[in-house]
Order: sequence, then C-alpha cells, then structure tokens
Amino acid sequence: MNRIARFTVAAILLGLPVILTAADFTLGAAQVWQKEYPFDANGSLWVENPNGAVEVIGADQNVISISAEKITRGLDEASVEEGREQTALYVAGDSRNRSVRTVVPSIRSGRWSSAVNYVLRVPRGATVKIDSGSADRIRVTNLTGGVSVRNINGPILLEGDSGPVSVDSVNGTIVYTPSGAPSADVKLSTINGHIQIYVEPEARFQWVAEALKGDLLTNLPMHGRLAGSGYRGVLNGGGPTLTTATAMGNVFLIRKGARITDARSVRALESGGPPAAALLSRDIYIPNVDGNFEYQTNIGNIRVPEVHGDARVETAAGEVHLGRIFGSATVRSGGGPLELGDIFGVISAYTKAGDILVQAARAGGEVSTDGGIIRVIYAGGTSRLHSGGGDIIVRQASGPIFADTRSGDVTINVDATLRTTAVNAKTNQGSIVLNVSPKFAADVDITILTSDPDAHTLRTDFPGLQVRRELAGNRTRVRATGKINGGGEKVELYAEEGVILFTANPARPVRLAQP
Amino acid sequence: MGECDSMRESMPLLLTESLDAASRERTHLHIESCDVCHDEWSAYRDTWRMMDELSEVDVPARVKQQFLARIDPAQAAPVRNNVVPFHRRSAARWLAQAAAVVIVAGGAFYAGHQVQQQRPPLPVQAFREPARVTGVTNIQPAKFSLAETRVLGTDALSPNIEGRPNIDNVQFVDSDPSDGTIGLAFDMTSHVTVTGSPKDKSMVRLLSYVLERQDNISPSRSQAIDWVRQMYANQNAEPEIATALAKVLRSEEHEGVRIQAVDTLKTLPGKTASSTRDALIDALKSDPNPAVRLKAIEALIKMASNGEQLDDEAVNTLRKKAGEEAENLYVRVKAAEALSKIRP
Amino acid sequence: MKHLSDQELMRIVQAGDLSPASEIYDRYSGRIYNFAFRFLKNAEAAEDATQEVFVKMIKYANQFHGDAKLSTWLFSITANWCRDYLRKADNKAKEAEDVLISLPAPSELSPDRTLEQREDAARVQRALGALTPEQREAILLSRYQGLSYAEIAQIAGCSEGAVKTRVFRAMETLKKALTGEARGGDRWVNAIR
Repeated sequence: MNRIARFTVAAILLGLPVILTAADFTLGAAQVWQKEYPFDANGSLWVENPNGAVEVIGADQNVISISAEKITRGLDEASVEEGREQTALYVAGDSRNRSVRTVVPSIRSGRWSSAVNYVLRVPRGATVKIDSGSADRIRVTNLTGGVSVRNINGPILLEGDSGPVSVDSVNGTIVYTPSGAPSADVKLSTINGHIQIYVEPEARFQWVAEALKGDLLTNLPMHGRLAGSGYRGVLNGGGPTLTTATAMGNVFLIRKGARITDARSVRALESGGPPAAALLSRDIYIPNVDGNFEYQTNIGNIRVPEVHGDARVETAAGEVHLGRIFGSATVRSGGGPLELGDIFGVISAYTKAGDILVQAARAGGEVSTDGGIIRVIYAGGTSRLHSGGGDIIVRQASGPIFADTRSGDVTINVDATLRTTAVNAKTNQGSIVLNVSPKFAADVDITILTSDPDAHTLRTDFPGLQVRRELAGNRTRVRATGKINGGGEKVELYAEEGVILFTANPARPVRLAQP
Repeated sequence: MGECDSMRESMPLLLTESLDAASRERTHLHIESCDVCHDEWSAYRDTWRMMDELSEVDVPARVKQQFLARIDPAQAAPVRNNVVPFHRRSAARWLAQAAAVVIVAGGAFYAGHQVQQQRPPLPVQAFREPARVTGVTNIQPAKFSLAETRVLGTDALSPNIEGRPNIDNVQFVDSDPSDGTIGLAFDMTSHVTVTGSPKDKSMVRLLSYVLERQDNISPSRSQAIDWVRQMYANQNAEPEIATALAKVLRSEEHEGVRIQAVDTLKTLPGKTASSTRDALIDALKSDPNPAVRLKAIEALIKMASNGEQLDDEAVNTLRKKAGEEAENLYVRVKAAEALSKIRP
Repeated sequence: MKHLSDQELMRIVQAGDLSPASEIYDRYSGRIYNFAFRFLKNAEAAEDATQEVFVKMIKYANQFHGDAKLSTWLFSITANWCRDYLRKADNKAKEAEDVLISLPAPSELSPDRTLEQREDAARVQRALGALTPEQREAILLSRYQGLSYAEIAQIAGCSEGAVKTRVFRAMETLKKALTGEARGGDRWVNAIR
C-alpha cells in the first residue's frame, strides 16, 4: 500500500539569526534530513524540485538514500519561518516506484525564498526522472537504467551513465559524458544553452544535430552531410542515435581527452572552407560606410547608421536598422522589423513578419511585409506598399502611391502642394482615409463592399461624385465616381467591411533634412 | 505591500464577515475594478464553498459515557440521542451578505444615474458630416438624460453603457492638453461628450467599452486603440483598458485591429492581468498573422524582463514555438529570447 | 438546564454541582470533536481530545471567568491538547502516516451524498492535511467554527496579524488544491514511466 510520509527524522535546525545571506534576504535557515527506503534494483525514481540542486548517484545498493537540505531565506525571522512552513518535502511510493517532491505554494509572499538541495543514492539499474525549475546544478552519475531530465535554468551534468537519456532544458547547458560508448538512444535538447558531449574515439553512433543560431563543432572523424541548419553524421559505422538540438547555443561533440578548442564547425568541414555567410549568425553594427555596403547573415540584427552608397542587406531572421542611405536600399529579412531612415535612392524592402518604418523614401520604391504595420513618413517617388495583414500609414505622399493590405486600415495624406497624383489604395478588411488639399484634382473611383446595407460608409468633402448602391451577392456595393476640381490622375480606393473617408483636410507638411 | 496584495489578504476576512462596513465596501469596489483581484476573489469563493463539502461527523456516544463516568460515575446514564448538532454558518447568510455588498457597490458605482425628471427628447438630427466638437464646455447638470446633448464630467455622471447602446461617430477631444483632462465624443441617441481625467474609473470604463464594441467599424476602433496608446502607454496603469484590449486581441476579426491591440498592450504599464496573459498566449499559439504572434512574444518578453512570472502554460507555449520548424524563424528566435529571461 | 446560559451553567459547576456537565457537553462536544478530528486527522485521538477537554473543563472550572466566552475557553483547551499531542514524536509520525489511513472514507460518513460530493469532501480533507498545523488550526477555527480573529489569536497564543497571515496562507494553499491547479498524492506514484 502506498504511503505518504513526511520527513520525520529530527531536523537539525542550524540556528538563526544569520547563517546564509543573499542579495535581498539577509536572514536564512537550513534544515537537513536523511532517510532511507527499500528500493528495487531496477526501480523508478521521480524527483520534482522547483528550486535547488539535484544529484543522483548510482551505487551498488538496494535502498534509496535521500539527503535533503532545505534552505530558506527571508527578510526577517517571521518570513524565514513562513518560508520554512510553506516549503514541504514529500516522499511517496514503494520499492518499485518512489517519488520525492518539493511542494511550495505557487502564489506566495515575496518576503522569502526557499530551495531544497537533494543528494540521492539509488541502485545503478534504477530509472530516474527529474523535473526541475531552477537548479544550481543537476548531476546524474553512474546509472544504467535510464535518465530523463527536464529543467528551466541550471546546468545538467550526466557522467558515467549508459542507457537511454533524454534531457529537455530551456536555458541550461548540458554536458554528457557517457561511460564507454552510448549504448542506447540519447536525446539532448536545450533552447538557450550549449551542449557538450565527450565520447571515446572508438564509440559508434549516429549523430543528428540541430542548431538554429549557433554552430555544430566536433573533433571526431564524422561522416555526414548538412541538412538545412542541421547535420546528420555517422561515427565508426554508426549505432544508437545521439540527437542534439539547441536553438541559440552551440553543440560540441568532443573526443574524450581532447580539448574543446580543437573542435571545428561541421559546416566548414563539409564545405571544405569557411562556412557560408548565410549559415553564420551574428549581429552587426557599423556606424559609417563609405561606398556601397553588402551584408548577409543567418540569424542576426543589422544596424548601419550611414552608408555613402548603395546598401544591400539580408538576414534570415533579425531586425534591420538603416539610417541615412545615400544610394538605394535593398533589405530582406526572413522575419523581424525593418527601420529605414532617410533613403535617397530607391527602396526595396521586404520582411516576412514584422513592422516596417520608413522615415523618407525620397525616390519611392517597394515596401512589403507578410504581416505587420507599414509606416512611411515621407514618400517621394512612386511607392508601392503591401502588407499581408496590418495597417498602412503614409504621413506625406509626394508622389504616386499604391497601397494594399489584406486586413487593416490605409491612411494616406497627400502633399498639400500637389495638385494631382495617382493614389491606389485597397484593403480587404478595413477602412481607407485619404486626406488631400481642397484644390486637389483627380478622377475618382471609390468602391466599398459592406455587409451592412444601412451603414454610412462613404464620407467625402468633395461634391460632384455620383454615388450608386447596388447588391453584390449578399453584400452592398457602394460606388462613387466622378471628377473633382476638373479631374486629374486616377484616385482608386477600394475597401471591404470598412468606411472610406475622402477629406479636403491635408496634414501639416513633413520637413526633410538637408542632404 | 501593493494594494492588490493587501486586498487579497482581506479576502478571507471578507468571507468570514470580519471586515467593518467601510473596509468591506472598499474591498468590493477594488475587486470590481481589478481584473486580477476579481479572478482571485472568484477562486476564493469557490474554495470557501468547496470547504462546505466537508461534512460534520457525529461524536461517538461512548465519548460522553466515558466523560461522565470520569467526572461522576453516577451521571454515566445510558446515552440519549439529544446531541445538539453544531449549526454551520448558513451558506444563505454568506450569499445574502455578498448580495448586499453587490447592491451597495453597484449603487455607489452608478451613482448619479437616476433620472429624476424626464424631459421630452430633442428631435433626431441627421448628420451628413461627422460632428465636430469645436469646444468643450463644462456644464454641471445634476441629472442626465440620454435624449439631450450634454457635456458631462465623468466625476459627476456615468452614462449607462450597461444596456449596450449603439454608439457611433466616435471622436477624441483634447482641446487643452495642459489641463490634464481628455474627452471622448460619440453619438448615442444624440451627440455626447464626456470629459474627465484619464484615471477616472468612468472614463476608463467608457473607453474600454468603445474598444470592445464589436460592430464599431474601423477606423473608429483602430483610432480608439491608437488614442488609448497615447493616453495610457507607460503612464497610467488601468487594468480595465488592458482587459478590453485583450478581448479585442482574442475576438477581433480584423487583423489590423488585432495588431494594434497587441501593440498597445505591450506599452501599458503595471502588472499583467491573467486575462491579458492568456490572450497573449492564445495569440502566440494560433493567430494567423505573424506580426500578432511577434508582438505577443514581445509583450511576454517585457513581462519576464519586469520580473513577472511566466506560468507553465506560457513557458510551454514558448518552448514549443522555439522548436517549431514551421514557425517563422524570427518568432522562434524571439521565443527563445523570452525564455532566456525566466528567473527562479 | 437548556434555558440557562453558558455562564450560568458554569457558575453552577463552579459551586460544586456537576449536573450541568451533560448539558455543556451536549452543547459543545460536536464542535470540539470535529475541530480535533479535522486537526489531528485521527478519529481515535479526536475522541481522546474531546473527553480530555470536558474533563479539564470540570477540573479547572474555577479558572473560567464569567465574562469570557465558554466556546473560546473550550477551544483553547482543545487546541493546547492537540498541540501537545502532535509534539510527541511518535504521534507526529502517526499524524503523517495516518493521512491516508485513519480518515474515514467519506462514504461512511454520508451514504446519501452523491459520489461527486464525497470525492469533493475527500479532496478537502486531503487539502487540509497539507497545511501546517498552525494554518490548519487557524482555518478550522475560522471557517468551521466561526471564531473571530481575536478569538483565534487568544486560542493560538499569537497576534491577530499572525492569525490573519495563517488564514491567508491556508486559503492560498487550499485554493490551489481545490480549484483544480494542483493534484494530490495520487499522481506521485508510477510517474516515472
């Protein structure tokens, strides 16, 4: 029968007032417990510890020995006492399945903190699962039964383990040093940490490696190939699979006894030279470039305040900040916001996800995002603006404008000094606001498609437009056409499920900096 | 100790009816106006109710016999079944108390709403052009009727938006930026301008209502959100505004408006309510627009950088995103960045 | 006797006449027993506690001051007895190990209740068991016995502020356990595979 037992062996209270200090909490207390329970040679152990180190050691024994040190820190004695009361240790199960848990309330006062450090000795053949939040260290040694670790912060060290291993960390670095060759599949995964593996040179396994931003390095004679941002290789003919995946860190596969600095990038190994620029990830900041500038990176932010020439930059994921570009600007990002300053030449800017801000597109150009808000403060030449979903705002259009968005509002202010210019604005879900001067002349064609037949969807300050309403399927189409101020360039506005405001109310002019 | 922490410590007192009337009123008012505390209060009440499930146990008869035998053997008579059961506090009493507070709180909040004199409504006017507010005049009427054009101070009155009236032609007025008051103009049955401080509960409630109105066609809603960002970004922490924006993020059809909503949510100060956090997580999980997902992560990064706890669901969603091959690479990188901010 | 107040009954006892003992017992035994039972999680100990409390009430009747509340005094005696009981080392072990054993199954208590109600009752029992003794004492006296914080402070021998904190902490833990966020000990077993 399963029993729950709280630790009952007399606690050794290491006396107050001050035995431990931390930056915020000046008082602390520690209690230590030790207890043993029978445990099968191939029993299962589950440890759950939100805060504190966990060490599991495989040994030749048929018991589980638990040593736990509970450390509580607080602002004052009452807080320490409360923390001590609120942090509970539970052991449950039987000789086949045993669990050791630290339980703290999820909502508690900020006046104390607690951690429990565990050292557990178990039979070598035990299977161990550890769920941890933050740990100074998680260490598992000399187990053959199988290890599974999940944590958020703190390094994970696996030494002398054989048997299947699975580690899933958020920010921890993983160091795996098996005893002998890996004899079962191993899966090591961390998002922001690194992975280091030390193996014997005669080990045989397959290596599947992924590193989004970081690199994959080894000093073992792997045979393999690159696969996207990853690598598939085989050592000494292959064997169990060693899978390593990290998003932001590096993976090192090192021969035991050798130095980590001897490792080389598999990307370089495969290509026979330095890794391609497209596979390197780094941020770059260059304050000033005389002449043209070209740069390409995998994952990285690009920041260049001034280029006295053309600029051409590309990042697979990252932000791009360009300041003054005296030539043209070509920008490609696989995802990330773009901020372009004063661009004297033609712009061609695209991001797969993110907002785009352009201070001045003096010669116009094309600006496109698959999802995000486009803001252009000043558009000089012909400008084409596209968003896959998001508003488009043009503070001053001093040239023809073509703007379309799948969903979002389009707001365009035409330069008050322009007598006429082409404007084409379209939204499939949203409204359009076009502000021009009272003397603006154009041939106007406005269409609104709306589900609300009674809605006042068109408001215009310009008389003389002919407005018709007709059924279009189960929606109402409102169409207004005509010439204003004698007619001029074409102004075509199209909105679905929104309103169109066409006003004789120009915005204040934008002042451009002198070149 | 923050106000919310202090209110939460009072909640058990509220349940045990141990607060004086003024404190009780204050606590309930806070609960009504604070999304986080409202959720906490609901959870407390549920817990309190569940504790009722633990039923009374009868005292075994032998205990009385043994007691009487010890003090006076002559009194150890055969057991009679006249044990007086303990009367638990009736749930009805607690409910009545809660209801009374609601009425009191409700009455206090909507003070000024009564119409004492019904004036005949003005004829409905058709507006060809959007109404323009050329000036804001402070009139101090004691009563308010929907049928009149009024300029109202929010400290005096709160228009009844509980009946979800149709409002249109929303405009934002700030005729004097230096006086610390702002104005919101809209058509209800007639054109109404309500002025007040950005911190007025009534103004906040009204703005939230405008934000949430599903059938308000943009640009009203986009403009509303933009304007709210100007008023409340990095300045006045108003949980109700955040809640309204979170609702827009969850339920708005227009992607452009959703982007605006999450963009504005990022800029609001103060602790993030659970409804806002949930809306951000849901947006991250399933919004089809990558800009919305990006901005949701940026909002979560800001939360984590401010030391707010990311709960298990947030952490798991971010973990999944960071590893999701089909997701945009930048979104994955940002998810990893959010995770790197988690502290013990 | 039923028409006499607590103070009047105690005055009779103080005068040496034990006839009101039965009436006082009938008035308060249910509350004392239920408090002790939920606090100690042990039916046998609760019976002992109840008996001892009323015996002490008689033995030390002269210490009772007429202007005090009898219930408060009785709960003080009960709380002291229970604390002493727990302090004994073997009883502490029994307290811990008995969490799953000596709580009578809810179905025995009230066979007419629905399964859901019985399961809820079991959950509440377990959740109370997870509190510290100080928190459990405070929440039992507040929630189930309707005592004020001032009275509880008197019984527990601490300040009203401390009682407020204990009740708050207890409610936080109970809230987590009972509103679906935490699970009890059942999932601990076989969790490794």
